[in-house]
Amino acid sequence: MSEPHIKTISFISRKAPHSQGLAKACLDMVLSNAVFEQNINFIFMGDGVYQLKDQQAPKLIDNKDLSAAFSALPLYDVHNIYVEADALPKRYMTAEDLVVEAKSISNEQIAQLLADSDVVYAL
Amino acid sequence: MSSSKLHTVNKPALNNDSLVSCLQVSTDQDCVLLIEDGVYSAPMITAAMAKDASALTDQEAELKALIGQREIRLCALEDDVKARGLDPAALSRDIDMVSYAEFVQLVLQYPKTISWF
Repeated sequence: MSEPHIKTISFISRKAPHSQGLAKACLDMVLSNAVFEQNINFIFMGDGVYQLKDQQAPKLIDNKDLSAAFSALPLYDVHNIYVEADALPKRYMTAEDLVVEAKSISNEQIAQLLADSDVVYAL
Repeated sequence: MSSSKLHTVNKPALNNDSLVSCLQVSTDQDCVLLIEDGVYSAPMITAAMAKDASALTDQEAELKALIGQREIRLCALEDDVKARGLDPAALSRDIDMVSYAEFVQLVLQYPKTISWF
């Protein structure tokens, strides 16, 4: 039996939550990998930060509410949650509008995370 | 012949030119209705209308120039606004919140409906 192999995997989620399924797909991939106790970076860029907006009411448009799942990320030992610093003010949002504790980081810092990752998914 | 038009826009202005293109070819008495992800433009429109000209970003200034002194009715589908966590009370009063039933009324009211996506 080989030793369990732990990789650093970064997920970049860039899409708004309600118009297509990629936000949910990325979240599902993060949770699946978390179950296997991988070291995960969950990075929200661009319109992806809309996923983390508080006060969402997706039932109004027959969509699933992802925000409960985001709040549960720490239970899956996903603690490294990041948002692209520029993305929030461009969308008239602040860190206080988010349903999770996310670290605001620069594009240079994101580049470093990607360099330090074994695997990167962007969707 | 009345030629007023209803425009629906379903993409956010920040990274898509649908709203700007729509406004560039719209005329007085037209109605622009933000739907789906198009409602994410509402905070930008709100900022554009509220801020001093000197404080506007390039995109806000462009929107303000296109919307400012014209008789174009701006609406947003209220359920799409609320679904995305935006607060209608925090948005510009220049943007009317409409229900699905009112959306249907708008389609009936205007001779033409144009979808920008």
